[in-house]
Amino acid sequence: MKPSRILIPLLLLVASAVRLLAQSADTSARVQPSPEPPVTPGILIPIFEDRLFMLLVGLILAGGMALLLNKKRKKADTEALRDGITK
Amino acid sequence: MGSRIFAWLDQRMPLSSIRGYFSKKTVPRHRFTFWYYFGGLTLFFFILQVITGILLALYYKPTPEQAHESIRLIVNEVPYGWLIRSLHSWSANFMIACVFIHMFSVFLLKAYRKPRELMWITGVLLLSLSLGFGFTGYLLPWDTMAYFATLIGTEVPKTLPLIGDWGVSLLKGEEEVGAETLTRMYSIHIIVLPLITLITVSFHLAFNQIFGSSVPIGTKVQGLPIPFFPNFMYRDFIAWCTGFAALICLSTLFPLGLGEKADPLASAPFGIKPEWYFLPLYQSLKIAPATILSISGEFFINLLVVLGSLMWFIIPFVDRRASREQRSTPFSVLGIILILYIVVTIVLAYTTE
Repeated sequence: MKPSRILIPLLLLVASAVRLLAQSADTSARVQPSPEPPVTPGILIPIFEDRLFMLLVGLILAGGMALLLNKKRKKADTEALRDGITK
Repeated sequence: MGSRIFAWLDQRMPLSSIRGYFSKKTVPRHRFTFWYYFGGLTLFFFILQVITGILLALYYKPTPEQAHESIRLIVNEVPYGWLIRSLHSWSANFMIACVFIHMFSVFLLKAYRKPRELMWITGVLLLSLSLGFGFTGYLLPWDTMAYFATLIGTEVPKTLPLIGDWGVSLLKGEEEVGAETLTRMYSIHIIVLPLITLITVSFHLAFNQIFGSSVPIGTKVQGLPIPFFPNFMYRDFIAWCTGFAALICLSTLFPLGLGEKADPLASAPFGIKPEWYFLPLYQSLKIAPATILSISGEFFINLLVVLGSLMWFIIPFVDRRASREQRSTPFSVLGIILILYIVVTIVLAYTTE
């Protein structure tokens, strides 16, 4: 079995688990003041779990696309090799 | 389905001939091929800048009264606004870093030599435009740091003869940094610079299509070249995915903060520093003595930067040896010295007060 077939569902599963964890945590504050000074007290950034969720979504998107493109690249390289266009 | 749409469109416009033209382009295969990816990565981050910039512009209000509040709204209220803003800021940094890497790799591989002089000139122009994007975008959040950094930054070119005062007043629109400055910076950031960039990028890419990628002098080519379409394009896209992965990591783990709303009447906070790409200039001005060769140190550095930049534009015409396909070691040494100077001044600016 190709690694991409296991990797993508696995990453999706992890992302969903993190999302569920984030939702089951204290939902009274979905955002928290940023700890980095100098920041206005009114400036809120999402809690770490929410940011982690977006990170996972982004990585799954980028990783999935890279795997798909790599597959297409290999196919194109094989065709070019067959046609004698490249080595 | 895709091929049917293509066939339909092909009957109505010359798609096949366009594809045929693009498929003629090849990328040489040698031990420096890796450096070719940075041009494509720069384009990718620029595309991201445009997309996230348009989304931010839907909510941003360029007035001193509303600018800071609108950023707060974007970060706090707009769904995923914090992420879009963070992506915009981080991708700007990534884009400028890629422009620098691309430019120095082109410089050291002497890819500017005949017949690619215009490709080099448009490339250097794109670097200047990228820095312009960074400078004009910095004030937009209208927080304390942005305000005072812009106040100091706009004072720097004043010492230049003839154009100094005129340029600064054109940029600021008034004596102090205020509503006029914000409006001007915003319009330059979202209209003037994107328009010039779009035209310059089009020329840069057209030259790239016409002349292709250059093989460094004395480098052994390994076998047949890689067809650009679709073989190298897939490789480019994979590099884009890697770039996006790095970008999303920084944007989510280190989202951009926002300082206190700027108060023009308050005193400037201690330790104001510009963005990292302006640090070499900042550090040079900082370490320069009050007078050099009986002229003001600040004026001397500014003049040096202007003359150096002009020289940088015309490097392909100065480096005659490279045009004759001969190694030009002095220019390679110059490039390495310049890279070291940039790195050292950035490190010094971060580590010293």
